[in-house]
Amino acid sequence: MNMSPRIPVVDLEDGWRDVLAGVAKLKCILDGSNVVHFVPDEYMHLYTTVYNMCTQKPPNDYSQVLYDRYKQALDDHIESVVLPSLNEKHGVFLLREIVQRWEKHKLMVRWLRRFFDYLDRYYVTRRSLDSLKDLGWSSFRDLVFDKLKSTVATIMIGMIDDEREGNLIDRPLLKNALDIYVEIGDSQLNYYSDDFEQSFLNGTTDYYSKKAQTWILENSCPEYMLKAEECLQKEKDRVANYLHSTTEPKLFAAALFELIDRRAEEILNKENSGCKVLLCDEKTEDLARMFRLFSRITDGLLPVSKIFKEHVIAEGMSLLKHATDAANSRKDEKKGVVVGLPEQDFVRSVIELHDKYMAYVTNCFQSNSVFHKALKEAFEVICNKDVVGCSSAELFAAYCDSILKRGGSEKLSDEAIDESLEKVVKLLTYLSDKDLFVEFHRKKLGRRLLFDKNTNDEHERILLSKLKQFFGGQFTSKMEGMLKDITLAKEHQSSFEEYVSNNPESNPLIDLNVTVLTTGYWPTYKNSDINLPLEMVKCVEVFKEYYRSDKQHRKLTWIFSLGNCVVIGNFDAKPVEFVLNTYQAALLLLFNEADKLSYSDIVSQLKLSDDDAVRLLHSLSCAKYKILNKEPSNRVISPEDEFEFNSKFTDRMRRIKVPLPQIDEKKKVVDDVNKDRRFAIDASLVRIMKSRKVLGHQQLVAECVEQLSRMFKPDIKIIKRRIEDLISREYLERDSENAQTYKYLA
Amino acid sequence: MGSDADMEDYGFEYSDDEPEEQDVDIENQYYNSKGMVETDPEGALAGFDQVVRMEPEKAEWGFKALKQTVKLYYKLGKYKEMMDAYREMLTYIKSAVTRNYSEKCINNIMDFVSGSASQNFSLLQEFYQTTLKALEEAKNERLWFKTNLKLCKIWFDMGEYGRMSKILKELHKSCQREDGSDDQKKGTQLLEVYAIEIQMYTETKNNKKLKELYTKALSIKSAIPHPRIMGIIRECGGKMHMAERQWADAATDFFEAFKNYDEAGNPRRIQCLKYLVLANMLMESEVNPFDGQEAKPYKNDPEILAMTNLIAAYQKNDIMEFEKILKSNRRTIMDDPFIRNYIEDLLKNIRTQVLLKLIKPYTRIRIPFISQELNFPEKDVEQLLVSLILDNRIQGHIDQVNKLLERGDRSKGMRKYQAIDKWNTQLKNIYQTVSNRVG
Repeated sequence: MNMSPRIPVVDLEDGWRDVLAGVAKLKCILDGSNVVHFVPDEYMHLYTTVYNMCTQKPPNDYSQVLYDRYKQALDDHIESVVLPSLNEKHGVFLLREIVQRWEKHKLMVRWLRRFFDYLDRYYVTRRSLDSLKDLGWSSFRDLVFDKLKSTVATIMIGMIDDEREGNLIDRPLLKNALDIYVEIGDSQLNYYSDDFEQSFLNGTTDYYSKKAQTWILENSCPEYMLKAEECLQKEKDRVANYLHSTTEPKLFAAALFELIDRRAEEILNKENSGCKVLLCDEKTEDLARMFRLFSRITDGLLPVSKIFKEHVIAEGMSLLKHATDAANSRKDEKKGVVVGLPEQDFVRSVIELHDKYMAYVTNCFQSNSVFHKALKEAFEVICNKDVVGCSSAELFAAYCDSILKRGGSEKLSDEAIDESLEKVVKLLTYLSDKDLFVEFHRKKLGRRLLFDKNTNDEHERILLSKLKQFFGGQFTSKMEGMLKDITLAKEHQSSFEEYVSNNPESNPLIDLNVTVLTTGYWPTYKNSDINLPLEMVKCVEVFKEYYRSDKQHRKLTWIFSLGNCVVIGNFDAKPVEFVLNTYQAALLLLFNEADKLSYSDIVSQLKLSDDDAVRLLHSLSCAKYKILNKEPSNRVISPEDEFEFNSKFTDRMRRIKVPLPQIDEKKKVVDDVNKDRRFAIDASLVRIMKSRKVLGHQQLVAECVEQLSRMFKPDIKIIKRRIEDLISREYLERDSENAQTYKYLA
Repeated sequence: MGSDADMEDYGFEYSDDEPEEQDVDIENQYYNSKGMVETDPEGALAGFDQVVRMEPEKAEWGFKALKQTVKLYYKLGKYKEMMDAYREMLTYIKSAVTRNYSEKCINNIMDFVSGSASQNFSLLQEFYQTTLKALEEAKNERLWFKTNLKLCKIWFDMGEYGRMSKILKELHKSCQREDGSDDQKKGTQLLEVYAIEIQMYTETKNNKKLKELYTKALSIKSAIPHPRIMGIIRECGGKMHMAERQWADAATDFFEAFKNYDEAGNPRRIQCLKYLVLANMLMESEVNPFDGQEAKPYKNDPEILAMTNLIAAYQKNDIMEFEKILKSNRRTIMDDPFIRNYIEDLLKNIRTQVLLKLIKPYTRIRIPFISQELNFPEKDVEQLLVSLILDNRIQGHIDQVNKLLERGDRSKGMRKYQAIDKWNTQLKNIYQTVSNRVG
């Protein structure tokens, strides 16, 4: 056999001796005691040796042995060098040492992997073993990390607490140490999470638990919150500086829980500086901070909003009490039945209150829906209270009236009026009896329009537009009709004057103004059918003739109680012009024919009711302007009285308006609204039953309330009564088997 | 004298309507002067002048006095003095009186000055210029707007469309936002501008612009519109639809216009009812417009009755009665140029209806006979027949030589020729067969 020259077989121990020499050199390099690095020849030699030992035929294939000895070498090094160096150290020094050792270990593993590369590429692959890197790192983990991980974690947590106390610490060191936990798990975080993070979070809880307990006692609410917010920010910074980013939500939650969640009640209710006090003192910055902090915990805003709501209600009640006291003291001086200045101030104050706390909701509480709801509920309480027997609905109507009418208490620019009306309309959304407001407002609108007391038609229209926008067309349709009627009336007046000038024979020789109103749009006015003087009768006839010529298919009903008259009285001293109600004028004209008349004469000639007669005569004989002399001359009108023209009457003014006694119409408005509500409830019930056919009592009531609550809050008792009434009128019937169920009857 | 304490004792409460102590002398001077207006105009003027001078600051009584002065000078025909007083009065409107009151006064003065516009054009011009300038300075935008609108209407009545357009442009600008789009908050004002603009385009027969504005006007939601304004818009819309021969839309518009005018008490309502009747006839609708609740009361109005009778004759296709009514109510019906414009269409419709009914039982009918029945010249009857045949409403053809209308299905004739052709073919075949046998 011819044999070619062979590469000599490398003996195990001989080869390993060479490898160990390389390892020893590597250790020296890592220790820094020798700055000489591997030269390519040395590296190649080591690589080749390992290669040869792994590629020789069995039994000279030493792959298995080399794989095992690789790990053994690392383990030996750790046991003999690394651990002793760590064992002698504590605290920060230990931290520093382990960081260094880990870095060196990684380097060592990297170099050895180069020597033993062949194993990684073939032996490990073929046998599906751990890679050399994994094997190497696990050495450190098993021998070093597992022993020291708790100690190191404790040290790090201590350092972090030091930093929390304001001390300077070595942040990069901390970051490097923590990186070991991350890297050792090959970025899977399980070691980081289990061996550091959990302990750290527990430590954080402990830390802030103690701190909170101390701070809550030593600090006011704003100071505490400031500290809390600063701490939370610092914890975020900490994560950014040296913790893993996944820790942030957990860390934040832990700190937040201890600082805010567990202390929520104490913070909010702290004496002299809690939420309520902040609201009273208008500490908007602190309130904003409170919102920021509490909005981060589950349901954290609910107690804050509750306090906010209670505070707003308390403020509202305070305004209410103030208005009540002012109104009562005024009432002691005067027997008032109308809405006076204190009530006006109340509405204005409520508007200001709403502006103020709406600004809080917008600015401090970031327009959060919980606070919007709280504000809404608070103002629903405030805006539905009575003030000295006046409902809020009436107050709001009176407030609008004072803005819109001439000579009102307000002297505002156009922009200010517009703004005020906008604010009133917003407050009206809180009013539960909106229909009552509509009726009062309509009444006052009628008076403004009919007696020409409004300063600006445009503002009336603007207000109606806003109401329409907020509450729908049904809300405003009657009032729009009223405005339309007034506009048309002006045109009618022009036509009428033209008619009179074209028909000289029908000229009544007295200036006549008539306003035609559409029934249904306008409130119902009290009307008496009295005997008019001839001069007035002629006026009525002329207008009727004119109206018939233009609109032959319509019927006119005259309401004299709304009329005004200018009459010139000839007195001994000088003539005086009187501005009178139509009835007053009719009464006075009787004295053109007779100097003296008895009460019964007047009543029978005019066909007046006693109530009206007493009221009229009182205004003409017992009030400020005594145009008539009364016998006996006291201040009570009685059927036995006699009246005489007072020719000696005089006054500085040439023109005098003679007022009539006020009548309280409040009760009538309320009665009208209640009547309308009854109809609304009936209609709603029938509508519901018509669509459902069969429905239980509770459901029917609930749906009815829901349907109607846009305009008013129905009384459950009234609903029940209406149901009974509908049953008796055979719109509904009771189910024969279940008394609580109703059926719709066609 | 009775004190307040005395009043309280007896249950009656008097409101304090005028808490402020007015200056008695000024007020008395004003009312004394006012009392002299009829009897002593010159004395009244002197008195009012006294009121103005008595007032330390511009206030209510001075304004009232100047108002009376303006009216009085106008009545006396002293226009120069009137304008002087008016200019002084305008200096009060910024703050001395409430906006409503000043607007009412200026409106009243504008109305009687405008009433004689044709006689005193230069005064009118000067008056409006003065007013508009003062209102602009006083920043009373609303009255400025209304004044311009009034001026616009005067120009419209005079047919001065050029001047109108100039003002309309300014009015539109005042109703716009910064970005040039219409400010919907000024819905009421916009509607007024649209109404007068629509009227202008109706008069100038600019249907394209009219349609554009009409659509815009109907889309405004935020207005509390005056029924007269809505009436105008709807009436012009109806006329527009009539011009486009959209009878149904026109009928809807005229009905809406009628309702609005009726609410406003405007005499145009009668006219719109007439238009409604007209549109219904042209629409060939069977619906009686007087069945509606709003229109029912007007059923027996003489002017409406003429139209109603016309409808009845129309629906009965009674051409004689129709023309008789037209003849006897010429003023009522034909005096309106708008109605007259469409009466030819009506006549054509009714003649068509009568014609179609007349020829129904016949297959052949003489044109002179039709002419006699329709009261229509033969040439015109032939023309009508031609258009109906072309519209496929009559199946037939005209024999001009014999003056006959031959009714029938042309396809029947076609089948006849086909049968004959078939027959001819068969004959040809037989002939060939026989020839072959012989050969």
